[in-house]
Amino acid sequence: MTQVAKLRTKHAAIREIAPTRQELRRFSRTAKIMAGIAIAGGVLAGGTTHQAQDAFEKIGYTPTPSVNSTGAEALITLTDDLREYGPPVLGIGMVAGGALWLSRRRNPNGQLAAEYAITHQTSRRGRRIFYAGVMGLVVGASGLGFAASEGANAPIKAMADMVGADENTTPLITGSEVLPLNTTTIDYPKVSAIIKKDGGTPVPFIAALGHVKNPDATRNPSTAPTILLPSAVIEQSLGISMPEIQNCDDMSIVVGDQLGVPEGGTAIINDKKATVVKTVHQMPGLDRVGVIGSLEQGEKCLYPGLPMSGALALGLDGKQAMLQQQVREQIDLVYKADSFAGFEQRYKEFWDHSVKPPQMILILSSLALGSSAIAGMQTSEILTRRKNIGMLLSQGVDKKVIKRSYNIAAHGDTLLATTPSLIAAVALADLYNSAQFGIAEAVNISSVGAGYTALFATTLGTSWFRNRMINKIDRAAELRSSV
Amino acid sequence: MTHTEYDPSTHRLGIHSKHLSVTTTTGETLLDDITLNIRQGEFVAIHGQSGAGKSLLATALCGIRFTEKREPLGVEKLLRSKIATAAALLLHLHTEKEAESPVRYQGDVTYSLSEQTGHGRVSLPHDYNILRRNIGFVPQEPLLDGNLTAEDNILIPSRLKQIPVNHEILEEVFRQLDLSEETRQKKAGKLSGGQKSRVAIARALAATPNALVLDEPTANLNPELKDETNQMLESLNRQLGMTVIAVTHEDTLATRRIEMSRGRVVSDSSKADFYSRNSL
Repeated sequence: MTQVAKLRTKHAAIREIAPTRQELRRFSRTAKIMAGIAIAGGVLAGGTTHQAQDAFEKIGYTPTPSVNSTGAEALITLTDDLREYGPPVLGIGMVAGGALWLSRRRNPNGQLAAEYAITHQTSRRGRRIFYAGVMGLVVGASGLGFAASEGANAPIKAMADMVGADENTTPLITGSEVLPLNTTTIDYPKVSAIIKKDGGTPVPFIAALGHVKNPDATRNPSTAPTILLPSAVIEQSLGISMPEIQNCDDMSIVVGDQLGVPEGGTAIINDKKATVVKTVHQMPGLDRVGVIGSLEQGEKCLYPGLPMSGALALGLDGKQAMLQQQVREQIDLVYKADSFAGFEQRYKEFWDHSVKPPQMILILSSLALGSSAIAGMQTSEILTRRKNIGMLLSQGVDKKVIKRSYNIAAHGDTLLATTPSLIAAVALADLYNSAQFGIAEAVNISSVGAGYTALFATTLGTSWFRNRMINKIDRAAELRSSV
Repeated sequence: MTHTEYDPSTHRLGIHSKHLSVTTTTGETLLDDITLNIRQGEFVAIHGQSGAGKSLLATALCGIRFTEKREPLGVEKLLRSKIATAAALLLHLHTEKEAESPVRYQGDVTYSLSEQTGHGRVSLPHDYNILRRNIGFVPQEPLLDGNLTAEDNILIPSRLKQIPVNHEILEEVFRQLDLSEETRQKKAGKLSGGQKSRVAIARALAATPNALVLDEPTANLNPELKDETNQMLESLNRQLGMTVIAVTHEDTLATRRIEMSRGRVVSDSSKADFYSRNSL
């Protein structure tokens, strides 16, 4: 027995029935637009799924940042804006929803209570569950992008802390403006000479992508952003001894705790054994675990013959411009003297371009398909309740009031879907976290706000369909124009 | 029935049609050149056989028209489910050639509303909202929301319109329509056919309109309630000066009887004492 049949049996007074063929025809334009959205959503989802999957697979290691188009920039901005403005939008939504709820409770015989009554006569459970599912997907996807792009910078931040550098003022010289952790090198003797001549202290480092493993674990990260600093710097900042070694299996490393190797345990780095002398809690990157090691040990055992990736210029705070001019004049035009903040920004931009476009495409695809379903549910509700609406119109109720009633109800449903959406979001985050080593995506207020805002915008957009349906039910308007 | 706010001398609504015709696009004439002058405070009964155009005339006069009921055809029955609705919308299914045709209105319908226009005439569409608040309509089917209580069905339209309800008048309406407190608190879906009809009448009267248009209001009532309802309508008309137009097959206490056949007015007989009684 269909739901309509149940309604007929239970409530004989309601003439809620599916639309006749003629009514379907009258609504045909709306139906065509809905079909268009569904097809567009399908094409968007289908066409981008492969691209998104490919990108998600690649972000385990360093992908080529091929997405630098205007569209990608817009997607990145949209992702960031959703997280930035989501919480205040959610806050406003909750305040407005609470005010409406209070107003309705205080005046049960008022207009608002009547609007609530006419829009809450059939079960809305299914709709709220669907809303919660769509919202949960957005919440989960939003958190993924944040965790991936922010987490990737953790080793860089750790390096800044260890050398006691000021993020904004301490100069950092690299071989080019290309990516950190990609093989960009400097002519260290020349760079060192320039820094020393200007009165600074050079601190060389190697930043590379290595491979670290927990020999006792069944799953391991695909790559390890590895920062090698002079042993003296590590000893001074962390109080850890990094002695000279004869055997490459005697290396000492500092590693992210998500690898699961305790202090004193043994890890495998680039196929060589290393003792974990300290674990640090970093914000994890996708499928990655950060490693910090001794430059002296690394030059001997991990990257023999590899030139330095860059050098810090301690004691020359704020003199990036002067250093920039010197390294370009004396060494190479591609040399870059930057601050840690600039270095991090470049790395973040790289990850933003790698992770956020496919993430946002995933969100948009979900919303495109979701909005089509939401529009279908909303229009179906109006069609099945068109006799009730027609009756209200016949009693002189303004169609604007009816449209407003349904719009408020839809936004109320969105708000009420926020809490149950957390179930879907947490489940999705767990799925990501288990699929990608090392990531610990958390559901927080920013991602929840992003999910609410995205669904709010969707229901706002699809309200056009519902309002159009109500407009068409208004037979009085047809009469008004023809008499 | 006593009240303090309603002033019949200033709140009266007349309805006037001039050469009103309604035809389908296939050329079928549903209403044919109807010219009527229903004065403020008249009690008019529209009679005629089924299909004569009575209901269409009533709804046209008060600016409303519902879709005519139609039995579903062929596979359309299969589409009459909530689940299939969205699919049908998306696929835009046509099972057979169009059975119903949209209608075309010609002519003129105007309203004279004493209070708002100073005995002038209200013309569509500019004063439509004012007009809609002043006409109570009782459809042939009660069209109650079965999930709401009877009282909510009665009061919600007024609440949505933000029109204050005159509870004194409404209590009197409840009494005359035999709508007890217990009945009013029942879900509308649980009411009998007669109770639903009475609730629909009460709903139309809740906002104390200036004119009341009823489409076969007593069809589902027992003889005793038919008499009481007729007396109530007569009372509303006589004591409040409310213009009443009732489409009916029954004998009423109406002061004017309009007979229709095949979309035309074939007789229009007024009682002589009507004008002297109302001084209109």
